[in-house]
Amino acid sequence: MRRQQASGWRKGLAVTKLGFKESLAYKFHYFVSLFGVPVNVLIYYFLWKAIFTYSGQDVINGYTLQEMVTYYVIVMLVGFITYSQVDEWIEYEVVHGHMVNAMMKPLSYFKWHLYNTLGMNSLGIIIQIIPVMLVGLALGLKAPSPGNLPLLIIAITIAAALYHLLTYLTGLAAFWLLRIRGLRRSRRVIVAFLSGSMLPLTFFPAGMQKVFSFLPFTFMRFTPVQIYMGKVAAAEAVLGLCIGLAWVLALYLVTRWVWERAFKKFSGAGI
Amino acid sequence: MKPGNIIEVNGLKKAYKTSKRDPGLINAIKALFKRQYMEKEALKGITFSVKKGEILGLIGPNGAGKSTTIKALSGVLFPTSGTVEVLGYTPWEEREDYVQHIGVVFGQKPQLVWDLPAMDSFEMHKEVYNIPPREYATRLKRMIRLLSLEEVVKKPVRDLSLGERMKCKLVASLLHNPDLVFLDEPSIGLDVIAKNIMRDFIIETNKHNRTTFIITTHDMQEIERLCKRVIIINHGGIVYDGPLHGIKQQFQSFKVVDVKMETERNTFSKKGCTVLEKRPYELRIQIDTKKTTIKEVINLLIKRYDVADINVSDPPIEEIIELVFRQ
Repeated sequence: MRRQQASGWRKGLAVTKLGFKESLAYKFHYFVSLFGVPVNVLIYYFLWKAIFTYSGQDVINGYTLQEMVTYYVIVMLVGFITYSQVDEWIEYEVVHGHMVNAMMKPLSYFKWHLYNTLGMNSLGIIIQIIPVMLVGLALGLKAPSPGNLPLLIIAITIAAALYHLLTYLTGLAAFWLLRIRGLRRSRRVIVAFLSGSMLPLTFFPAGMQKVFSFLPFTFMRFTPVQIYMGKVAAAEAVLGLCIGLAWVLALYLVTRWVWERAFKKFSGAGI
Repeated sequence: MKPGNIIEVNGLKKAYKTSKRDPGLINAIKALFKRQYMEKEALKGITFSVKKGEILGLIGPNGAGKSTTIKALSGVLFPTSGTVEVLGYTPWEEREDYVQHIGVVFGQKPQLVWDLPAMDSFEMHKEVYNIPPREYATRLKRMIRLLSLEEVVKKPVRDLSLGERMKCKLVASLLHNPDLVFLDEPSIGLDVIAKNIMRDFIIETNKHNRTTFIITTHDMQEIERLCKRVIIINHGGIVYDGPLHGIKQQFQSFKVVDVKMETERNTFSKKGCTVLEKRPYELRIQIDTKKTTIKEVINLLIKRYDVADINVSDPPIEEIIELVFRQ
């Protein structure tokens, strides 16, 4: 007799809960980062303060110093919210041959890791956001215009989905390469550069900006920040989010395609 | 599927490619550019079936194909050819549905969240496997009592002893009352007491719920006490399938002679005899009575050696299995 499966939500919630409990076991790790993370904001602040002072201008590429601070603070906050380290976990599982554990659960491998990521990271998000906000406020962080809030929430959700999907894809590479530390690092640098977390994308030549605006990376950091700061018109933002959403769908389909091959590779080559 | 059967495996074959490389730095660099592959046949077309409520022992030397068999049966392996039907499923085709019916304990893999009490992992299982709350509570209580885990399940898994951890893994694998449970080396590294408790628990669960167990282990005593039937796998094929005492009968012609001597001698050779162990004043000799007789061997020993003591016995199960492996 076939057994009834639990609903997707119930399974998802249970895995998320377990991940959250696990993250509580590492709470000390987060409390330590309380002190380190805000320093990043200070670094950007002093760097840009120096640039503004020596250039003698009040506005550079459309940003005032206060906007610049806002930009980096929001980039960091979006970074916390969308954080995913699933590639590291997959690498660990593959190298040590522990994937069978996940495969013995009545959940797809993708969902297992998605819910685990949600659970594992929610504590970190809450703990890390506060000090960065406080430092940001002290340096003149601007509030978002309330009208943009719905769009902002959608933008951050898309950013999180894209970032997780890309990280998951990076992780799946471990099924062929085993050790993927180099790949993980490259991914991080490429995302940092092309998503605008190092430098606002408006600092690049117009042609490059045009190209960037069609890449998925833009939607991981730059788009939500632009919406927060009210730098894009609503219509333009909606259009951008549609492209972002299309990327989510595309990357999701790619992960499924890659996963099928990864599973074949894994189950074909012995464990 | 025949009535009463829950597993039917037919001509299961599994070949896979592995990269090979000669040792040395030069060869390591060469391998970067040109990989050599070697095809390995892990399973050469095995056929067997298992009835509901059986406890089946799967034995064989390392690399014989035991784990490959378990992986194919648990749905994480695509076979090269052949069919597998378990509980009406083809395991690797409907994995998510199928795994609700089975439980797996990997003796060598961590299966519970390391930094949390086992209880937290159990709770997750309850939801994910859709276990009705009351069933969950009674089943868990019963297992905790049988394995005396009252305090153990509250401590982080990392602080548990190997035996406690294994017991918790066993509980986790049984919470959803699976029809079929795979135990892959469940007693590895455990002491005798823990082994006994686990063994009694497995027998009790088998009787109580008619759970079918498939166990791989290198511990022959465990097999002897748990399994009425064993399948011996070697070089990817089944070399024996039947009751354990059946193997003994097959090798009834073998006897073991332990000799103690007054003077130091440690060589012995005769047709039909193999020396199993040598110590300065002791020899352990295996006799194939089809090729020679006990009388001849003992006469020879007494004539040529300074014999202090002689003991003739049936070979223990470990040595019989070794004989099967060597064939």
